[in-house]
Amino acid sequence: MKSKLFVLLLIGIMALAFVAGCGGTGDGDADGVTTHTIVGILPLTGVLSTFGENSAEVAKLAADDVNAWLEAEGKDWTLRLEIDDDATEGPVGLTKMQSWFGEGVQIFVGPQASGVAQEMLAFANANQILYISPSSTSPALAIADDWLFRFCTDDNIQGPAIGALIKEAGIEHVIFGWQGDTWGDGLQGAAEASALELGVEVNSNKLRFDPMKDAFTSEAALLDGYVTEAVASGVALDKIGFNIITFEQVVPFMVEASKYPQLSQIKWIGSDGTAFSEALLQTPEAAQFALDVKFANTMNKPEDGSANYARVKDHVQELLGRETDAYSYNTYDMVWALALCIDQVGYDSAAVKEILPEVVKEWSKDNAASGYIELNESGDRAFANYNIVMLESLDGWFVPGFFDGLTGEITWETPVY
Amino acid sequence: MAPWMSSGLIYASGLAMTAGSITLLYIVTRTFNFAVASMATIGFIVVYTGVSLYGGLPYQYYPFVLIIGAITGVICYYGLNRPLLYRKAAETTLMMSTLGYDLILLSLIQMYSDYLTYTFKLFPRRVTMSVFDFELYGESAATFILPITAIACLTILHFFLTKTKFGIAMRATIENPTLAGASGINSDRVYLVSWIISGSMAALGGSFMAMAMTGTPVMGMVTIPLMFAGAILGGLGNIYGGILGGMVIGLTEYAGVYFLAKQFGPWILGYRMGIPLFIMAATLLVFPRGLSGIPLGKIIKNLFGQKRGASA
Repeated sequence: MKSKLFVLLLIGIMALAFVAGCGGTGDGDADGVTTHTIVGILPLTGVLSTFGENSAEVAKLAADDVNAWLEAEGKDWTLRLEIDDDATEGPVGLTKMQSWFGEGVQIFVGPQASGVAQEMLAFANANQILYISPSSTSPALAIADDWLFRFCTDDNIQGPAIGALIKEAGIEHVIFGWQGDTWGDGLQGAAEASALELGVEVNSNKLRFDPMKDAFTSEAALLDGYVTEAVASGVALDKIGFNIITFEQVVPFMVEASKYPQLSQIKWIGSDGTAFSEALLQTPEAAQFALDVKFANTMNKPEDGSANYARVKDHVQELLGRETDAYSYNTYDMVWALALCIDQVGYDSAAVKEILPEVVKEWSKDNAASGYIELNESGDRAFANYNIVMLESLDGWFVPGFFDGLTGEITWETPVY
Repeated sequence: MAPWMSSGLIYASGLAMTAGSITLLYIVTRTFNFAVASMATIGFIVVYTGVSLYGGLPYQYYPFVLIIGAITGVICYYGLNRPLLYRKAAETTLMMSTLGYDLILLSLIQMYSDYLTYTFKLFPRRVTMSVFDFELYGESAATFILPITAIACLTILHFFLTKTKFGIAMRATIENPTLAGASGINSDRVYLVSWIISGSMAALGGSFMAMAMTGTPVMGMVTIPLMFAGAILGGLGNIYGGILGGMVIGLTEYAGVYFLAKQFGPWILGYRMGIPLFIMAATLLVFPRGLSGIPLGKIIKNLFGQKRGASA
């Protein structure tokens, strides 16, 4: 009798789970209101976790705003946003996308890292899954007619910004160090090409390291050796620069580098991976080192005056107690752009893909948090300016100038070199 | 001392503790403990919480690390390992059960990290613990304190196993559980104590390692291959071998990579983890029973014998 009851109970639970699962991911009707689901696959853990946390909160804010707008307009659908963690690892991101696709989701926000976006690409193309990255900048992913859109420019545009910054800093001999993945390789190549073009000598020893790396004792020791060799060959210490292209690993790298006195006398240049790094601010030793070496970074420039810029900025400050990163503004615009497309053509990834460039172009003129968005033939943001981001004190970042993408010039509002 | 050498010594001390933890548990309960990864991370998280919220030095939180590490061990023993041991589960089952436990611990660590982030505006996802250290004779204090602490732990463990009644009972259970049970030794208590010691060692090892590498909620997952490499290099049958194996693997990772990169170029840096694993494989090819299987006494005897023979 007991075992029969147990079996019946088990069947009941399974049936309940089945019914719940059917209505779980969206396109379900309740009281005549349809729910459409988009999933944010973001790096809540791993080396991009600061960016991931920012974007997750901003995506939720955007979804709330969209739903408020839908309600005010009397629309018959609501947006459901789910956030999932890709751990900044390609295989994890792909598994998450496959899993959500199995539940009927066709439209995704994220991932943030190019390596993860690349891992997902073949599966997304084969299954007509539309996904938009706020921050994948690898030139290798600038592919026409694929199913990946990017609301940021690729590194062929950021590379010249870094090259110009190297030149502006008075660097005559630059050493490159970067994380060896799709993003790092692409950006380093573009930055090196630009530096060479501007007449800067590039050290033949290059520190390409594992993106998953967490300790930089060997790298710092080797860098010290390369600087010693460059000085011995006649280059003045203050004319030597080190361009580090990585994410939050910059913190342990700088802590190690601070143990070598001459490494705090060369100039350090970063990239969008390290601009506004909260991890750096949380580690005073690394922040002090960054201040000493005038650590300058390039970062996609959102339009300060745009309608939702302040809203996003204040929201993250209030919730997480920190300055948000520039890519999170893209995330806000991505959720809105997708919602507007779904509103026009329904939850159909192919139809959304078709109208997305025009919809975002129109909407972004007055509403985008990140400024005007025009996509190129690869589905990537066509052009952008770059802010120069440096530490103002141990507590915060500031923007002393910006790189104009059209002229290739840096304009300083606060001269630092 | 060169900074890379100092960091290598600190890291190796931590790795030695975790490798010792794996070995101890394996020889007592036949369980390859995959949860050592999260237990090590818990060690780091406990110290980080302490220094961030209450200030002070990392070392003053080590007693808490030991206690919380021991608690995670006890939970795993009563919740998973004990029921499986009593059902005479296969080694694979025992091992996989710890993997499940590890995933549960990892989820709890992630939740706790979110709690620290959202409630205290802390940043536990990427921490450089060495910045909380102080200088001693021009070096980071951890360079001296952590290897000495590791040696002290090993000495205490040695005395516990060889000089106390319970330690001797424990060794008897390790040698022959059936005979030990027949002679009145409570094997349940022996297993429990081994989980307590093992959990404490793993957590302490993790807190050591975080002084040399970046502390993250997944740091244990990233380094677990090297923890097992240390245990395997040590021979898996001898706790001292396990600790020595961990030390060798840790030092090889730091010193080996640095010297090879200096010699052959920085491209070697991309193969950092492969180098100690290669050393492990090469050692096992020559000495299949690992470091503890190297007949040191015999080698020394032969050497001295040959010398005496040569001089005669």
